[in-house]
Amino acid sequence: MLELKNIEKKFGGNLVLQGISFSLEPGRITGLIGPNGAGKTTLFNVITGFHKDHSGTVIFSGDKITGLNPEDICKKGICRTFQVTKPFANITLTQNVMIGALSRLERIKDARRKAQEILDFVGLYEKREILGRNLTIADRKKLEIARGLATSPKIFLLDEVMAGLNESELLEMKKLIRNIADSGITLLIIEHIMTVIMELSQKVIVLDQGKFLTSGTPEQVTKNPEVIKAYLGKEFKHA
Amino acid sequence: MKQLIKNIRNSSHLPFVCFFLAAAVLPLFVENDFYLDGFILIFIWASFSSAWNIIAGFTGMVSLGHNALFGIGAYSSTILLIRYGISPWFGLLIGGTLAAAVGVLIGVICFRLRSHYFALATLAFGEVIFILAMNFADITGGAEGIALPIEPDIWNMSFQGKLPYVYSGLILLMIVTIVSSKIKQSKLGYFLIAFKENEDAARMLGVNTGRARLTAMAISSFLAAVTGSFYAQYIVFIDPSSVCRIQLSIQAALFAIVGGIGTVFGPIVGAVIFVPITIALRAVLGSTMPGLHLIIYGFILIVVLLYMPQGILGAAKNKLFRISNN
Amino acid sequence: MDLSIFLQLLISGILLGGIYAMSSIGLTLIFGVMKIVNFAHGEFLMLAMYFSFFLHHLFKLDPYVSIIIVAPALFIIGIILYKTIIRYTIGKPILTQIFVTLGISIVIENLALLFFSGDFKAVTLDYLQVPFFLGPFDSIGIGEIIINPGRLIAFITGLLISGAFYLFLKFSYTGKIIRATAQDRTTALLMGINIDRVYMLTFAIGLLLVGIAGCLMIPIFTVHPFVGFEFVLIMFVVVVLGGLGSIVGAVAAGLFIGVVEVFSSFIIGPDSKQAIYFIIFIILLIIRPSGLFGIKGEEELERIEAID
Repeated sequence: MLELKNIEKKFGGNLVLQGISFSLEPGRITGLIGPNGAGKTTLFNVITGFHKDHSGTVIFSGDKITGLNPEDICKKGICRTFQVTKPFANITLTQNVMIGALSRLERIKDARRKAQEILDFVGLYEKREILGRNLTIADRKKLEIARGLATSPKIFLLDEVMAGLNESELLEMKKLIRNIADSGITLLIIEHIMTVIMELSQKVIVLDQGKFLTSGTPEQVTKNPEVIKAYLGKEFKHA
Repeated sequence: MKQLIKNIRNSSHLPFVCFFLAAAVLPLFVENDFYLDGFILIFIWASFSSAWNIIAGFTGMVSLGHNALFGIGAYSSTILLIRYGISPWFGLLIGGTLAAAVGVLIGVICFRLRSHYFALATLAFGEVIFILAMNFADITGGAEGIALPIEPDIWNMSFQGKLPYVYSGLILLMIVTIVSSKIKQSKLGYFLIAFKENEDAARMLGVNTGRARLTAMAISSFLAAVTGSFYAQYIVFIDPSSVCRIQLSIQAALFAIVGGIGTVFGPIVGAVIFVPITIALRAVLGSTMPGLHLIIYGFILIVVLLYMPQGILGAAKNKLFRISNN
Repeated sequence: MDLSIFLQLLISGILLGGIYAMSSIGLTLIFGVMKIVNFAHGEFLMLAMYFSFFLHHLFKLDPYVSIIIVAPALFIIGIILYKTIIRYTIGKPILTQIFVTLGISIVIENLALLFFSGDFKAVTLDYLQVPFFLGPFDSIGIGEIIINPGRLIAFITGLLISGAFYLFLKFSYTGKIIRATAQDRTTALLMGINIDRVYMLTFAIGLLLVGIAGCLMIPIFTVHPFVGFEFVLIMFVVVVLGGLGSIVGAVAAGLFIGVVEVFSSFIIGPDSKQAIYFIIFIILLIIRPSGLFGIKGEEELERIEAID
């Protein structure tokens, strides 16, 4: 469904991504993990067209999407959330989500209806008339997801949507992510909270210092000595 | 009472329906040309400010070159009329189209610039057009300007007395306002807000921010130029400093900012407040204290930006919001 | 083109350019450190010219001597404006910053019109009336080259002050603090730098510099309430060309624009000289919006601003 071939990306003289190749199969939750600086968010930027000056190809449903703009990639069916949430601060949540919906719909009325359905789905319906700037962290993360869902993505990339949530919010978010996956959307999620990744994903891809390290089921990955050495080792010992 | 306020808030168009009704009826009872002139100027400057607001208010891209677009309109229709006998009714459409093309050109070149640079670049564009108007005297009459023929004739958009100008100006303002309001409520309007609020997020949600802004720029430029054509027809004399100078853009911004930038009716509120003050101060103090009104406006601009950045309409809306939510 | 004419134009252009450079460094400093485009900068130049004019007119004070009064006066005006208005625009939307400084410019311009009238005023210094000549250098076929003493003084003083200011930024403790703030506001804040004070100082120094420029210019140019707008447009071209925030860039761009202006006036005629540099400006924005000298990562020490 989504296939990355030999992605390389430089910042100045530094290679931040190096020979990354993997593919995502439809209808699954894939975790993308790796220590800080592994290049996870950079990879998201490459896939979604925010970074252009990289080598390698990104193929989506048989089409090469390398070099396309984010808005065109969105139209193709790939959307993402941002690690640092970017709500449209001075308009209501409904309007926030409507903008996503308008990427597929022509009429304002239809977009509004769709926005409200999605706000209901993510649990923000009650707050639909609040302005984007007046949200808690958890709600901002949900709004990011709601807006993305409104673009009807086939693949949805989630960048640390769990970060900064408390215990009950975490539970709610996990349920939401499962629901999204159940609706048939392929998910690629970056997450730092290891237990969550283990719990949610069917497959895990590990990056380390810009390189593809390994991939496999959560069990395989956690048992891989290289992964433990590079990254998990420390954390799991502490845990 | 609370319900009433809620209704007013929700039907925020009501005051403006009242405004347009009053604007349509009042001039019938005014016989003094001096006051009718005031009505016409309010309509013209409100239209121009609304046109500016479509790009600067809706998208946050501050244009300081709209004076050039106004001037393109004024010169196009005037030159077409005087040299080729083309009716200003067509002339204003031609001028508007030309301005839209120039606006799109400015957009293509400057939209990728950061906002400071965009303001400076549009300022430079405006100055280039001003200098061209000054120096191509064969076509534009240069600093001496061009006088338009004064023979009342509907075909030439030249009327007997002030009332026809009042009503054409009112219709112009209504058109500009309706366009502005339609944009605001349309897909384009949502895309523009998305761009203004956060460009990265907008793009990720499928918004082609470049195209949305170019569309807004084209519409804004067209309307600015049409207003320029009408202004030329009304004052029957144009020169670069009356239709091309940077102060026109600043004035458009002043009206929109004080009225409520980014709102559909803000520019009208601004014009209704400032145009009469300007006329009055000029009439009373014009010869002894030139520029006094501008000193006052400068202060008002600073104070509004610092203490009431959403302008009069924004502040009023917030107040109503609070009352109805209590 | 005759070589003598060419040299004459080149030298006139460089002298004029030095004046442009001098008047622009305050603007580029304020942008580099505070990220504010000061649309009122031309009006401060105009104020300085009027100050110097009146000191000469009323007290027979030599404009060059008047620097010691005018520059501090502009510095104080800078502090007052910063405390009352400018500080509240830091971090606000671009729209606010542009129109607040434009508002200030409108107020100053029209106050000048109110108090000083719209008449053109000039200071004529007897000792500057005799131009001096370079050459002729008959052996290489170059005739006499006329040098206007007022412009030469402005040029030399302007360059000296720009140079001194550059050294101040580079080596003095205060200068280092200003550059640190320009480069990374947040880190500077964490290092215990009082950002508010740095901004105040920057704004006041920016005005002080334009104050000196005004005194150097009054013997050469006439002053009227709208002179600021004419000059600020040139200054914008200069600072963008030089890379917003770059002192060295502003000096180089100033010289360049001066030369371009003199040559284009000669070749195309004085009326279109402005159009020429605006067109250069627009072309520049198309091909290289960070300015000729605003090269990211290069000459970090010279550039006081990292492109953000």
